Amino acid sequence: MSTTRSLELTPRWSTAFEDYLTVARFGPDGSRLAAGSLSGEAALLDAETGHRSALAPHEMGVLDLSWSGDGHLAVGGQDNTVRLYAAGSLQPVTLELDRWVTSVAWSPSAPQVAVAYGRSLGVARVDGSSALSFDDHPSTVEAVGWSIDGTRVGAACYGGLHWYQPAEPEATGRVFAWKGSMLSLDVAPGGRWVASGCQDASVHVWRLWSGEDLQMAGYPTKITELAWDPTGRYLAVANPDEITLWDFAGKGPQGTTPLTLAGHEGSIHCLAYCPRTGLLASGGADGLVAVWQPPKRSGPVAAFDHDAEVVSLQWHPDGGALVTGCADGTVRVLDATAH
Amino acid sequence: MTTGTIDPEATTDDRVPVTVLTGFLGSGKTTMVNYVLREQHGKRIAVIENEFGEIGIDDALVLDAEEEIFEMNNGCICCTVRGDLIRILGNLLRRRDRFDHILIETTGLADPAPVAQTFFVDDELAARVRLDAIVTLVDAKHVVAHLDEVKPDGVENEAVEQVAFADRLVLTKTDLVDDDTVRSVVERLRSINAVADITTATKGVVDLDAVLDVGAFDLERAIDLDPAFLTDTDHQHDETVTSVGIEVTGELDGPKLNEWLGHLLSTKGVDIFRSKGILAIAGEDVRHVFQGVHMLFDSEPGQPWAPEEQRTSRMVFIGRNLDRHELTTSLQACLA
Ligand SMILES: [Zn+2]
Repeated sequence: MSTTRSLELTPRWSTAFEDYLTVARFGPDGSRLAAGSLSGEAALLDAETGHRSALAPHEMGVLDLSWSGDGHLAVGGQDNTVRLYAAGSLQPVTLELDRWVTSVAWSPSAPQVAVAYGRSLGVARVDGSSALSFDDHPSTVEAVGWSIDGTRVGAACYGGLHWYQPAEPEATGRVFAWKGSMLSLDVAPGGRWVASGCQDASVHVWRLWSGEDLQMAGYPTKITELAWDPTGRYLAVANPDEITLWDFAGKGPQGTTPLTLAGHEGSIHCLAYCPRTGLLASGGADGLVAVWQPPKRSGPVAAFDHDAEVVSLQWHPDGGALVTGCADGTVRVLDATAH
Repeated sequence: MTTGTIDPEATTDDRVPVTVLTGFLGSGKTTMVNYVLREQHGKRIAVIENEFGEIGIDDALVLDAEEEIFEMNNGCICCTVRGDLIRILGNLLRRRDRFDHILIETTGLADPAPVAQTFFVDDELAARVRLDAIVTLVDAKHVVAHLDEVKPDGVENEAVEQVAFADRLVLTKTDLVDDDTVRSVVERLRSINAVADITTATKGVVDLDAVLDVGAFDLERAIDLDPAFLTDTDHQHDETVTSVGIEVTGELDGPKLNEWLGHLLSTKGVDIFRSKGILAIAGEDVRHVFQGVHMLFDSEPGQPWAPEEQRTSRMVFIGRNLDRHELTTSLQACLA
């Protein structure tokens, strides 16, 4: 990891969508990004210029999108559809489902995508052929995610995390149980842990695959934002206006006191670690995007103010820029220049 | 989960009001929703319902919800919320489109508690919407039969629950019964819920002020109690659902009161459906207002006391197995 002394955030370009910007994500080579909003607009944006190529709209809003490592794109929305764009194509294959598509995630190892819709977790191939569907979860599936090797796929819902093996669909799934509504699913780089935020204001981290459950309770409100650092050692949790950083080295964080990063003046809506530099970025209701260098420093190393709540955030794969999405529909690329 | 969250933003109230409409099948909910939408010229109303009705009004957005109830407090049966509402309202409130009012229509057999508790439990929602009132439609012809229906052990009579939870009771189909029946129905409703206002509707036509912007969850609102209700001793320690109103004169000791209420609601919250209070706390220049649904409650400062004003506190409990004597002596023991 490089040692950053100071970092400057300067706007490269910005563009406006018509409503709340749900999600903006760089593609794997960083040349383009995809963004979607609650207006239903979805588009590819050139990372250098912001030039927009429209994608098929999702009436009532885009809820999530995901890029695969080789450039396939999946976009899901409140119109009960997920659209799959094979790498380089603007012509989607559309899967019509019967519920909102709340979460999509490509497998890290094969061209297949996990799709959360209603109480189901579906797995579809890039050509749109449906591989599998795991139905009848106890509640709507809030998030989906894969193990590092792509052999297992998980669904976060009421009652815990449900895991399946798409290659062996008849095998009994595993459940990491908790009597609460799980809102996210984040597997740590390295694959030792999976973290999930809960409606009941606790964070659960299960050891893969023993299923040992570490719990961090006592937060003020529900946990929607978690991020693992690129080494898989630190877990950052935003709640509500502070970030707590848990150290998973050795025996893990239980009984330890986390580092606290303070500086936001409102709820933090998004967190993103830079896979290249290990810097952590946060965006919040106060319009602030702050960059942190934990655990070295507890104050921000850079900041940039937006005119609206920052609700989506991601680092460029080369670590030299950030994309932010705002509640007023603005998408902005910020250059992050180290001094 | 016994939590008293006081949201500082809650007092500057530009939050969208939410009305929860409950009532058995046949009580006229759909007719009422259609009437409200037709009469609310220029107001943007979002309706969330469990099954699509025959609603086609230009300014209204109708969203279909599939009821998802889950327990919040490690499996406590009374600490339940509607997960689907958190998701649907969360998305709705992020939109640029602003709604003036949100109407949530529940299924006939629904227990109103999870809907109400959703607004206590989810801070994101609590910051953007406020529960205005639970309005229960009551079919004057059939309600008594529903209320009298004997359920197997452990199964709640949903009609009783819906009446007990209501801030406002709307009697429908009064044209199908005679005046004596109406009077006895009102009396029966009063025996369960002594504090809800009762109004009547004919063919879905009701005074809109009676169902929208009631402000029943407005913590500033005084609790108007019939003095007779404060001394009513008919239903002491009764397994049926009743209301108990208490009034004490003098100032209450804050810590003692907190301890008692916290203990009461965490141990008896399953049986106590609703609780409300306007309280005089020692050393405070303002009233404290209090609202609870089962184990969850909110409290916040209210109107100031006039300099020479007699300090009194009033509390109302609606629930099962309520012991007026015990509740009264416990509250009196909290006097400073
Ligand atoms: Zn409970």
